[in-house]
Amino acid sequence: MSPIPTPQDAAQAGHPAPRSVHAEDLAIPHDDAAHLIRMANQIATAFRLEPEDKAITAMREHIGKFWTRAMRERLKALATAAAPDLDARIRRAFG
Amino acid sequence: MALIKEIDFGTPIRVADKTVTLEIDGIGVTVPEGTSVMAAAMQLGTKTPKLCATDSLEPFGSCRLCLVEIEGRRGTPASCTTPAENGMKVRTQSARLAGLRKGVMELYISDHPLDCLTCAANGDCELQDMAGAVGLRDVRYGMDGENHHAPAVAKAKDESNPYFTFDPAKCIVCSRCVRACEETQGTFALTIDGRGFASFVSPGGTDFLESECVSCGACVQACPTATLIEKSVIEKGQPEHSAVTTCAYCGVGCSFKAEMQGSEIVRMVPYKDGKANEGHSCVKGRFAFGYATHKDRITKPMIRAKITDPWREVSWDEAIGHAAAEFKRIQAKYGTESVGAITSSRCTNEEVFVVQKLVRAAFRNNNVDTCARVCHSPTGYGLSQTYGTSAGTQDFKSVEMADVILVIGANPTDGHPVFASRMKKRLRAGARLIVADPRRIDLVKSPHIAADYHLPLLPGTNVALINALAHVIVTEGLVDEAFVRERCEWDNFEAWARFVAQDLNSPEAMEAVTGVPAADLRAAARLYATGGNAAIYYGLGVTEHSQGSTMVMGMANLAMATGNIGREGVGVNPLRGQNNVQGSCDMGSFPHEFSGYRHVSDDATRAMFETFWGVPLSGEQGLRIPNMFEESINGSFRGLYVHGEDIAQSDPNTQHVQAALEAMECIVVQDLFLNETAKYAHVFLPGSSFLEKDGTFTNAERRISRVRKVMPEMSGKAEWQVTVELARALGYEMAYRHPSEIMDEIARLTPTFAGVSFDRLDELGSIQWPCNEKAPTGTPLMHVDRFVRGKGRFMMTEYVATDEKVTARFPLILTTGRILSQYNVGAQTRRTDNTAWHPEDVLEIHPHDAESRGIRDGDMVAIQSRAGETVLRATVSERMQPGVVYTTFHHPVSGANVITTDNSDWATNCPEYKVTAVEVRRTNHYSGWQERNAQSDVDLRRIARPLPEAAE
Ligand code: SF4
Ligand code: SF4
Ligand code: SF4
Ligand code: FES
Repeated sequence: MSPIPTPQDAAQAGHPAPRSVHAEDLAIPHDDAAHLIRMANQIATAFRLEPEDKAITAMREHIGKFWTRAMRERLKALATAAAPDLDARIRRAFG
Repeated sequence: MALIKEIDFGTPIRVADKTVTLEIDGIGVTVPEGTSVMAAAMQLGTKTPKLCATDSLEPFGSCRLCLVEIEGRRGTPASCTTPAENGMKVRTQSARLAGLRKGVMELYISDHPLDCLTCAANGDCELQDMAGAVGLRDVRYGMDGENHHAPAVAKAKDESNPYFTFDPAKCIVCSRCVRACEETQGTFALTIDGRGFASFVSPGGTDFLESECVSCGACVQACPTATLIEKSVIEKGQPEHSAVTTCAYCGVGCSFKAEMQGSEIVRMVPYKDGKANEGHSCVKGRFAFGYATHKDRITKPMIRAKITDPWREVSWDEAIGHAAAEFKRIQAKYGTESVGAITSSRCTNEEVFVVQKLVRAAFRNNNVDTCARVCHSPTGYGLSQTYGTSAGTQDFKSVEMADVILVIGANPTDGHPVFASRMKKRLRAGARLIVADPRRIDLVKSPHIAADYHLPLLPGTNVALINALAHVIVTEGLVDEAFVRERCEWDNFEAWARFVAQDLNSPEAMEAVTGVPAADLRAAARLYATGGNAAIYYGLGVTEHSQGSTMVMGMANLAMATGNIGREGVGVNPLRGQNNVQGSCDMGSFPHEFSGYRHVSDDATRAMFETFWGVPLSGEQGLRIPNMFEESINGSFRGLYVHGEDIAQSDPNTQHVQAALEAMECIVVQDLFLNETAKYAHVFLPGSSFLEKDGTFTNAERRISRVRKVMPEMSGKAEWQVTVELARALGYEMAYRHPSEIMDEIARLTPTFAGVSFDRLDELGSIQWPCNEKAPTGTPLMHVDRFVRGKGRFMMTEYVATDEKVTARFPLILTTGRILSQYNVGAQTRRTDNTAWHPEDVLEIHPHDAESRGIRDGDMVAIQSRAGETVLRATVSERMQPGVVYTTFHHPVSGANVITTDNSDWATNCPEYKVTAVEVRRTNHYSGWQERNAQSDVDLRRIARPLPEAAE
């Protein structure tokens, strides 16, 4: 299963939805950490079939090449703090 | 500058290995086998009189004006339909021929109105020319006999098409128009009805606007008389000079002659020597240029302190000075990284290059991105991972050699019409066709074309589909092992083959996901792998997904596995959206790359740029567009220079974008119009249309073509000049005198462009990069003997469902696209008569889905997604599959992007435009967003006008 929960998955599991699913008049609450986690998890998923060492190299390379320094630093903080929603391999690669 | 007139050889130029030698009027000539006597004569400069022949069409032999005498043959054969043969002796002039030709002309003229002096084609009429050429002096039959033009009998003019008229009274029934519509355009809208004297041309029994006609203009160009003629020529008269330039609309990059009177454009005529289009065009490029002089164009620089203030017209110096001061202030307050720019895929390579240079050298950061981010960034990523370069593999001509054409997520007849015409020509000649698209696009079934397989997959399941195709190829032993062993990395291939061979990737297993019947999918895979040269053409239906990059790699894998790469007729070919998407990417518009796709952290490359530009440069990649919006909302990004793009309309999740734009302290917009983004801007710098520019565009086949200035800039300054002045005001000097000097700098700094210059382009017409010492005239085909990266690399492409799931609350999938007559956000085409075909965006919905919601054709419907809601009119259509609805995004009031979400491609953050879960219901009023937006159209677009002078 995809490690990225959809609002529905989350709701079913009894967690609050990670972002608003309400109609247009609600401004979209912007949660930077959630967003970074989601992007990082998507990348982890893309390399999921690779063996761990290869995947970690590939993820480091990818994020190192495309993400800004500030984003990488925030990701590192999240990984070091072992943010629970963060993919385990990302945590190992960046923590 | 004179009016450019291409030579008309009368019949198509043949390509053949063998040649034949013959004698025409006593002079020897050697031509490729299959060439007509008429075209052979023209090689010598000998014009045979003709009416029904022109070299864009196959010979027809109906007018009998081109008769010649051939030694040893009886009679007087038509030179257009007679192939040249070895040893032939041909006479094009004799007393007998002159008599016969005069007779033919007499018949034509006896049935033709004699109003040449006031006729719109006067000066450009082949009938007139032929009357002159054969020496017609009188008409023995008189002019009073039965005819087609006397007021009592003449059929009415058809003026329904906004751009051209059809006056049947002047028609000589040569059927060039009918053949142009069939052969050149492939639409089959025209027929010759009736027989003999009573025969006439008809757009399918209705008028042109209501007919199947797509207004490409091929028939107008082919017509030898004033019967089909541009309204602009009727109004203005014949042009007196012309210049060759490049269409500024789509990624086909058609070459045109801009035909002018002084600095006013009379008409655009596709240029025969243009390699992208070979003399053809679509309605946009040929006719929709009126926006360039539209009254909505803003031609004076303007500034304002707050976006709710009215705009104030100011001098160029004040506007540029103000913009520079603001950017400096913001950087001083929030740091170097707090400002950035967005380059345009509609602007020239030279303009894009100076904008990204401004960011890197004057802002001293790498916060530059381009709107290609939102369309084809996955192409760049996917193809460079697998093949080593960020571009399509073939030229357009290659399609003529394809035996199997696989179209995925592209709608070429609407999106890339001129390429579609070339593709359809090949399909009519027998190539097989597979279409993978959620909608039954026109190509699936159109006159004389039927797809062998239409794979109607559910939006968002591309990767599942490509893996299933690969599964069949691997498990049924259809892999071209010799190719893979020689050209690709074998370990990666093995890993990939093991992966796709798993049962979970089989068509049967994937049927539940994709909705495509397994049997069809298997058959399509076999056809692709075994049908001869197989070529993949794809569009935004591939890239604009959360797995866009994965899908591009999946297609690249498939082509490698079957050996369909590195020669004519095969390949993996992106159909690019905007005209210069390829170019804007090549020019270093991405935050992590210098021109030529070299990472900013690469020390050697950066050192070269630093030396050349004379400043230290940052080796840290900058922000991508979505990151800019996020950082704006986070408070660390505060100033943006937007060059020729309308991010507020074209980017997904409009409300998020609007919030990000509103949070910025200085937005500088450089554009033709006060677009949606300009509503949030503080400085407006008027831009110039492509008719006012010198520069180059690079099309989807990597072809660099010249854009030539045919009229002065309305704003008084070229766009590149404005950027240079802004850089200067920021403290960084750029000393160019002409765009050609910018290209010279690009060539010096970019190995793949080393051999490109304006002089070289003038000489060769156009150049496909790479162009350097190894390929001095450019590179039509890539990866011929080896891949750019060395060996081809198979990449893993696991299917992962998008987060955007349908639920009881949002049970339908919305997918988006475009239509022929409009272009992108429509800023240009909406300001032309193209609105005759597409006055508004509509929601296409399948009859079942419509019925269960009580929706009838033409109803207003609210479309609600997790991100927002908008209201459009519904069109009930069988083209859709149940569960999928579709709309275009050409009109800002539709707010199609209010409902698209901020899901994006995992590798490039290209937004997932193509999949949004929605619910649709009937309504009778516009959405809250639309109402607020309509109000902001007024509030945020006011321009302060000086008070009228008091009356005396
Ligand atoms: S404009 Fe194009 S589509 Fe229309 S009738 Fe002429 S050739 Fe056919
Ligand atoms: S409309 Fe023009 S091209 Fe067509 S048959 Fe008449 S004269 Fe020929
Ligand atoms: S819009 Fe595209 S196909 Fe049409 S004329 Fe322009 S470049 Fe050619
Ligand atoms: S031109 Fe040859 S028959 Fe008309």
